[in-house]
Amino acid sequence: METCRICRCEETPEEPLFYPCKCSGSIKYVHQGCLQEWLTTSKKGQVCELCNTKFLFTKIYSPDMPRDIPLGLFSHQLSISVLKSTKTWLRYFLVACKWLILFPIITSGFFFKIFKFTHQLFIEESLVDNISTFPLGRALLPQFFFTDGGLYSGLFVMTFEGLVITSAYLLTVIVPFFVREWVLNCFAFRQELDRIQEEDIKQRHAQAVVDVMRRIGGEGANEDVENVIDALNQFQQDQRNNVQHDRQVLEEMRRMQDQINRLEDQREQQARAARRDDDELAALDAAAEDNTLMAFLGFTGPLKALWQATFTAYTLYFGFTVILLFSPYTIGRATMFTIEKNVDTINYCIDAIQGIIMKFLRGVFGSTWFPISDELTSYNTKFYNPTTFGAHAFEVLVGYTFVASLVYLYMKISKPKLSVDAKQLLKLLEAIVKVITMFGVELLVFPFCCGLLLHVSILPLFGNFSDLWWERLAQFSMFPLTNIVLHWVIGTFYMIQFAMFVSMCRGQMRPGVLYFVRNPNDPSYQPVQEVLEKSMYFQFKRIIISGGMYAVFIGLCIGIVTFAYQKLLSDKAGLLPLSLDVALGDFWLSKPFFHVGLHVCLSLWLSSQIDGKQVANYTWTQILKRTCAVLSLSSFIFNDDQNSEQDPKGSFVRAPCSDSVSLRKSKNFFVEVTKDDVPIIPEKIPRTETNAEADADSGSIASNTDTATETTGATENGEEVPPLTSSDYVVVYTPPRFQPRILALLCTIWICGALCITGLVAAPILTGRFLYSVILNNLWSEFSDIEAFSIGAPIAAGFYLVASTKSGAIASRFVLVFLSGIALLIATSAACEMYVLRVVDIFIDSDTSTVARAISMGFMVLVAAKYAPSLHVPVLGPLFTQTFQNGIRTCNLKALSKLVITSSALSLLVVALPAMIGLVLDGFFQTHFIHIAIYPVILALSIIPVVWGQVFQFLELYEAQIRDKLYTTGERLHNRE
Amino acid sequence: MSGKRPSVAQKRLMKEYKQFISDPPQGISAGPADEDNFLLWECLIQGPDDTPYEGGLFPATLKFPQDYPLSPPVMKFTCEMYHPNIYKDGTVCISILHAPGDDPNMYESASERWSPIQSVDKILLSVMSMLAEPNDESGANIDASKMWRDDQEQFVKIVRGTVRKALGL
Repeated sequence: METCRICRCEETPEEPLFYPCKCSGSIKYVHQGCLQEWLTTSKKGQVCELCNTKFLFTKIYSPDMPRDIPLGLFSHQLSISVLKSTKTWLRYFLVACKWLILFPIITSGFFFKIFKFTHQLFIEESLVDNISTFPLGRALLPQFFFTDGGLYSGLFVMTFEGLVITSAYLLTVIVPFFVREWVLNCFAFRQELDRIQEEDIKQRHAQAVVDVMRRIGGEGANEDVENVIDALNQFQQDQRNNVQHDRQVLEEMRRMQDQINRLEDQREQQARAARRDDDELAALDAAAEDNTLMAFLGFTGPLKALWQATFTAYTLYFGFTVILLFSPYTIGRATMFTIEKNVDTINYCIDAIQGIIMKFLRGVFGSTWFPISDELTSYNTKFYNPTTFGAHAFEVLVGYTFVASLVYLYMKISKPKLSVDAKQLLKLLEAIVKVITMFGVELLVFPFCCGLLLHVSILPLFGNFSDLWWERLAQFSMFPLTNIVLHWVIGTFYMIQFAMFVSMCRGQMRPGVLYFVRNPNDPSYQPVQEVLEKSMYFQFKRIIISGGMYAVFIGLCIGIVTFAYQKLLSDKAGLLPLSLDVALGDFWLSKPFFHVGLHVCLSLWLSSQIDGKQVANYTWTQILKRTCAVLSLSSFIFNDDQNSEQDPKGSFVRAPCSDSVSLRKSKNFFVEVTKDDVPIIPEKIPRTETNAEADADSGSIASNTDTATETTGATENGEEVPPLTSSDYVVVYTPPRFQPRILALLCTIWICGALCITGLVAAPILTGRFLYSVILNNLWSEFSDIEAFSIGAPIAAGFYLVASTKSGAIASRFVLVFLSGIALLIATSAACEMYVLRVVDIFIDSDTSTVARAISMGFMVLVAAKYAPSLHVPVLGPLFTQTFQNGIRTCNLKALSKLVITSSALSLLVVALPAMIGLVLDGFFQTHFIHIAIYPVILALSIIPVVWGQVFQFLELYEAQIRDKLYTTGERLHNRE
Repeated sequence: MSGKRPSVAQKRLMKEYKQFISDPPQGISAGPADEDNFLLWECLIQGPDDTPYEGGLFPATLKFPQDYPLSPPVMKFTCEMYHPNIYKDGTVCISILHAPGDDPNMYESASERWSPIQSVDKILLSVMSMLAEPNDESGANIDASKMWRDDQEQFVKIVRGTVRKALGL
């Protein structure tokens, strides 16, 4: 019997069964009504949830529908929908204005007003005018916006600041929320919460016992709760020993009763927890649901709600500002103010100390590095300048510390009784703060410091270190936020590169060589849990040690190289210093920024052609293999037994054989054994000479790694070192004088790395400079090494490609591609110049060289055309894909020639045709302006047919929509053929 | 229900019941708790052989929503169950009992979720196979999940305890 798969009913004349999808058997048939109901409930579109067939519905139009919609009706409907959409867009506009302009302006205005209030109270009058703001957004914006000082730029700056502040607030709300989820997901933490609850239950249990005893007036009447807890614990012991029988019976009764109480408590608490979870989930859902958010923002729902939402937002915002920033800031400012006022002597002390330090430094390094500049002395007279951004941030911190210490003191002194919930909440808060702090230090502060160090260590490349030092320092204090962000980005980039380098080494070496570096791919590594479990002291120690390692590493490996280059190269051939014209204040608008962006795009494209990873991997393997062979370390590094390397003086040791070996066992590694894994010295003796040596050695390898400190941390814990099992280690050969050999290996790696990086940076720059001096010096008025790099990099890479291919045919293919690429670039640049830049020139005076900017823009257009998938160039796009679908090496020559011919013809048409028309027209109008105007005019004219086509299509679609809206009487499901 | 036309849910459940008693799957028995109200069923599931649950007989309830079969029923064991995919209160967490809209664990594909083509016998069979093969990814009982992964022996021991308890031994 055929039944509907949803209601399990049979076919009736009114409700026939359909078979609309590929499903067969008992679920083949369905009623149209049932199916439609299910589709609206499931909200997954008109698709079968099992076989993914799209259901086909045909609209049934009423029989009195006219063949063509009458014009009156059409225009009526059109005007209605135009009005409606105008209304919607007006509303969107209103909402956008509200949230993106008005709200930020008012909030940032309020922000600065209340801080001014603090300033007036707690700052010396002479300084009040200097600090009118809390320069948060201001420090991020380019200098450009402040130069004109007009109303609009002022409003713009305020809006921007408001947006920055609001997003910062949103972050401070969202981040703890996520962290809370992580923390609650952590098993150890939930156990901790349970423990608190259990303790509380025990406490209450004991309290109950005491109460009962008091009532009875028995022997325990004068005991306090703590004693009873002890007694109860004791009692459980006694109970097992079956002593004090009569007391046991009494206690047993109490215990039963308490058990019941406890169960009830637990049940209640579970119910409460469930309720709480439900509430939170509901709140979350509500927030996550688009509709609610949209309604809150004012896109949907009554317009009145927009003003209510605004009010809520303002209240929240003001509350947040007052609680999170203003109060701590005021407290901190007041504290600092008091210190400033009363303890002038601090100034003198600090002056004196600084003077001594400077004198010492000057004595050691000479006065060129630490000059007695005006800036320095003025800095010295006032040890603390409350007008700077850093001071503001510091004062907020002081305020927080103050409040926190007050709370801490209160908790310590008065010891208020807390309920379980409060205790658990406190625990949760503590965990959240801990996680945020540790992650903040590791993800924000750490990379930032790395960036700073890197910056300092590459300074010698750009000129005299001591001059640049003070220059950059001044820039930093002028644009602190821009600088912080920049350094953070640089540091993060560096750390990622470093991690990639380590993982590359890991791939090449025997597993276990790098056992002391944590493998980021290790599945058992749970960062949140680790942060929660280990103590703050331990973690800070770890971070400080690994920070020290990084610092030493950067200083030694990069600083020394750059200093050497400066000493060796600065006088010769004008290779150094590099010119970089970085104006940090205007970084976001500056040339370097665009060049960096451009270059990133380019290198992305190139990387799809040259497999950089493979080349790097191959090079490193070769370097490592050869060096190890020379140093007889093949067995240790690669587990590659070369008998020729083995010397009778060498020894065999147990080395860790995988990267996931527990670090607590590390003490047991590097024990000397025979080739067949028999310990030479009995294993009982904990510390042999080899062992010590191996430890020292692991330390020396560890010197450049983040987690090396784990080793130290684990051994200091004083835990018992678990013994090794045979699956933990392999026996490898170590040659005599092992330590110096490892050192030599590290030095080789260092020198090769330095040479490689120098080559990668210097080759493009030298190529670019050469090109500039030969061809381009007429086009570019100013030319820094950033330009040299971005021009030189693709050309140098092209040379590399040509040189690295052995076949002459492929090489000539490269040349062809390269030449056509240049042709394409010139054509695009010419089009950009004619259609955009010259028109823009009419309105804006620009003194940049035209050719340079045309080429830059043409280049960007090409890169954009390559990467933006929506920018499909009609003919060229498919041709381009066809040409390069197999990479440059095997490009399709036929398609390439087609591409070149079409694109040249097209650009000729696009550039030359309007020029000719312009020439003809020039005969009539006799004005030079026609040559500029003809391009946009022709562009507009050529767009007209496209636009008309679009409009026509739209009208047809709209007519169909009207039909659907006015004349549809129902839908009919289609059976599948 | 008297005087009212039986709703779609009631009608469908009636049909399902008829079908169920005409061809009951092995190891499962089920039926409405009350002949007037088909929206609450009681069932008994046998522990699958060769699993720690072997020999057990587990009572559970199936609560159907008013708009069944558009929304899935909720299944809850009324005895103590120790299983990675069963909450401590007995509620079963299995993908075919999740409505297509909500996805608590964010990993189930739409085709694994509730659809009106499912039925009581299919649900109970799925639950039975879930007893035999816990799903590691969607932990409803984290402790059990962890135990099942890390310490099979202990897991079996606890489960055997619950089985004995369910049988009243």
